Amino acid sequence: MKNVKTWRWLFVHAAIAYSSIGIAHDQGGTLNAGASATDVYQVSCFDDGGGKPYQLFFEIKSVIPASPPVSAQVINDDLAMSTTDRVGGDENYSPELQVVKPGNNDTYTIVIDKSAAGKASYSLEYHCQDSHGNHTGTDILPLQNQ
Amino acid sequence: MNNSTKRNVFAAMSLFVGLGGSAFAFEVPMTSKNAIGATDLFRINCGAPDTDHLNVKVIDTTPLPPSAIDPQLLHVNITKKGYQPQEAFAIAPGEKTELSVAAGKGSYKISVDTSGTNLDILTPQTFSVEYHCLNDADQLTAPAVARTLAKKIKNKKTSKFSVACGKSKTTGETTKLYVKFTNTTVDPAKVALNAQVIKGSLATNATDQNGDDFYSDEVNLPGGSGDYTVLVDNTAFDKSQDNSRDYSLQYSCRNLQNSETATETPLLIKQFPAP
Repeated sequence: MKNVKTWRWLFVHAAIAYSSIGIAHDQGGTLNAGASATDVYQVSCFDDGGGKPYQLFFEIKSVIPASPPVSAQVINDDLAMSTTDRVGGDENYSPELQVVKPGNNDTYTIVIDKSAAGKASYSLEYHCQDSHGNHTGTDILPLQNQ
Repeated sequence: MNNSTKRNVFAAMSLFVGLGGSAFAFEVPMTSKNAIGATDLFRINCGAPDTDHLNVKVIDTTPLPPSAIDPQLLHVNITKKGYQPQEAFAIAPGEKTELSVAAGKGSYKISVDTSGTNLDILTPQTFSVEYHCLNDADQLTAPAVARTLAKKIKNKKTSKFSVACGKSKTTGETTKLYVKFTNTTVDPAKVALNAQVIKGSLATNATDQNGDDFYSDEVNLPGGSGDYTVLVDNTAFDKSQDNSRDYSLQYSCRNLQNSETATETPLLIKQFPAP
């Protein structure tokens, strides 16, 4: 019986871990104290069987109280949008935005920065979505960490 | 500004640069759209093969709305034993000041306080101190790189710290300390203007707070020759406010010696959200 419980526990936690990886898409990071500190990521959107990618959803949260406002910009070719979390340490994210660019295997550049000197930490939430807002395949690649 | 007007502006800038040669940086006056997430996109070509980096700074020229309460102001004082102190008073949120003390190598004392300003403000203020130890030729000595300290200060308190300048094997003895002091306190309700410079996997960011005549700090992205993407956006959060911003973007392609190389007018400009 003990073995059954152990396997059940492992299965449940593996399932939770898998679903977190597949759906949540939170990327944490820290910007150093320099005013121009910037992180860069590349996000790829692809059809994983759940639908054709249509847009990238994104929002950001600054997690340290009294730290500078943290912003995220998303760029894809000639498209760009920006969102800012102005209060660090609370539960609220920045306004959520979607950059619409239909197409499979498309890549978006995400730039994270802040509006003053001082260390800041953030949680970036992002999802590739189909035209109905359903989650599609999403991968992230860090390119610059400051 | 409609597309036709934009084209005329950039045609005029091309003519200006063509007549003026490489001595001038480009300047783009623009008004961003009134929306959360509004972003202006520029693409700038640095065609000269000896280009090392793109230099960018931005200034928010939007008229300042009336404030309900006076801001807290900071006072900074730099001393070194046996030398005349240097002081700067009434530095408001978003403002910066530069100080230089010619007192050689050794330990410099820096103190910052909030006394004498708005004592009704109880929230901590933040500031940054960027310092350079320099020789007579304005070369960095020791430390060999500029250092940045980011600190907080509570009302009626004094923040004291010291910085040490030494001798460099390559650039010699320190003769002075240069300090750039910035009151980085951000009013969360206030909209700041940001500019990002992006090329390949590299990016950097400049910020200008509204309400002064100073440009943001200059930022340099060492991306070599080719196309750079520059975004200008803001920290708008309230749809009921007018979030459009008047601003001016200044940029130039530069070589390793920081001299301007061939700088083209932006290849493309788009404003978001689209109409």
